[in-house]
Amino acid sequence: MVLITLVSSDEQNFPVERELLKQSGTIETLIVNMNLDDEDTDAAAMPIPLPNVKGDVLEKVIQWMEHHKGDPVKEGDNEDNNAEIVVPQWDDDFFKPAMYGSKHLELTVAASYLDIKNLLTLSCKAISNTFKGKTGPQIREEWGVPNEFTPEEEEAIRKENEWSE
Amino acid sequence: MNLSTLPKVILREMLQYVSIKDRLALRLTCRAFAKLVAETNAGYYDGICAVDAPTFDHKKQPCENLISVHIGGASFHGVTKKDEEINRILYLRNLLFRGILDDSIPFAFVRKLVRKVKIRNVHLIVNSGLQLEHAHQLITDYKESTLTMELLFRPKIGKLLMIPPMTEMKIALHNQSTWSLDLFLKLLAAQPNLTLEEPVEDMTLPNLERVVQLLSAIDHPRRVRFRVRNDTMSLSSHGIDALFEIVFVTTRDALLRLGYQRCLIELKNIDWKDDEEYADVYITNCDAWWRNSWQNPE
Repeated sequence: MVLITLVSSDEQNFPVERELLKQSGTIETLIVNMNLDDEDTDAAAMPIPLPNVKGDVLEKVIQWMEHHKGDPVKEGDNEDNNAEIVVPQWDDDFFKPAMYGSKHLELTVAASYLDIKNLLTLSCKAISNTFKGKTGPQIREEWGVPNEFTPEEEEAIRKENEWSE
Repeated sequence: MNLSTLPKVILREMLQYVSIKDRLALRLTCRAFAKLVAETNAGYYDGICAVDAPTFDHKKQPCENLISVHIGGASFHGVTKKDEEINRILYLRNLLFRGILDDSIPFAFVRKLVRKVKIRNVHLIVNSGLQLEHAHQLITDYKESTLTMELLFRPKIGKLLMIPPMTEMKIALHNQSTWSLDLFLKLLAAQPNLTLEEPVEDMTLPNLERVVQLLSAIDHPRRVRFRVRNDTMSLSSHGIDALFEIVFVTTRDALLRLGYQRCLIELKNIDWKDDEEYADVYITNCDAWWRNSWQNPE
């Protein structure tokens, strides 16, 4: 089994099975550019630095990729916007402990940076699920978003919103 | 890091999965989100913007001055058909999302947009007087194209007969109305390939003969499809073979094929006992093509 080492921004090393990394467009490109798949190249001696991902986040990303090993890798933009995406139970449980905190947001940003489309889609969908049926102030409170509106502005938006059922 | 500081590319991805109702709530979280909601498309929602008019109140009385507007999951009822109200809806829609394609995009804009685009086949679906006006403009713009039309309402007779000949013209009113024989004959003269969903009145066998005489006299290819009442045609009480040449008869689909000068006629769902209400009639004057296909039925 070929292992490739990923190095997080806080210089933690993560040896990862080569096969798993096919899920990340960014890492896959680096592997190809660095010829790490060549038999003559000593992949173990050439760690891949990921300066935008912290160790604890990278650990979660790897955990997610391990669970989704063998899943079809999504390519290109999501062309099927009409299909409602359902977050599988395992992923929901995976996201839940960190939801509403910066850790989940960092995981989402890492998914975008590493170009792991399935993780990005599910993570975004999980975030959007937290908005369902909530009011603006509830979303604000749960996600710790500061209230920038004056009472007058808030009232004006409320009135616009009241117009719909 | 907080939610509103996520990179835009991620926020846009996330907003794809947010329903219209939740978008309304998101507007109230912070300015960044209000702006984001306004700038993004509304994701997977079908029928993103639709208008019902007229709607009906609880007494089932027509409320012709009111409309309902549906934008994704949100509905706006009792909107009066005034510019002020419509503008308010459009304003709110602009706060909720961008990128919506619907009737609110001015026709002139669409026409300008496609002016230099070559379109080989132009199919016009026309459901109102305004759309018919727009159709005339597109017909002028695309004279060289193959033009087909599906007319879903009945314009005034003058306007109906002013529609230029289409490669195919289908009129489907989806109501209980009928076509008078007189208007049918005028339409027949105006359109070379005509399909009428609603039945033609007074289509007795002698009147059917008038129709095929008219078509036989035209040199150019003509086709017409329409419906008739079986009891009006009254096949059982007339000597059909005295008027037409019987080409083919089968009980399957209750089918009868007749010849008349250069025309061939197909009657489908005919009923000698007048049990079946309507028969379908297809007539063409392209006799060579029809004779070959009809005389060698599968």
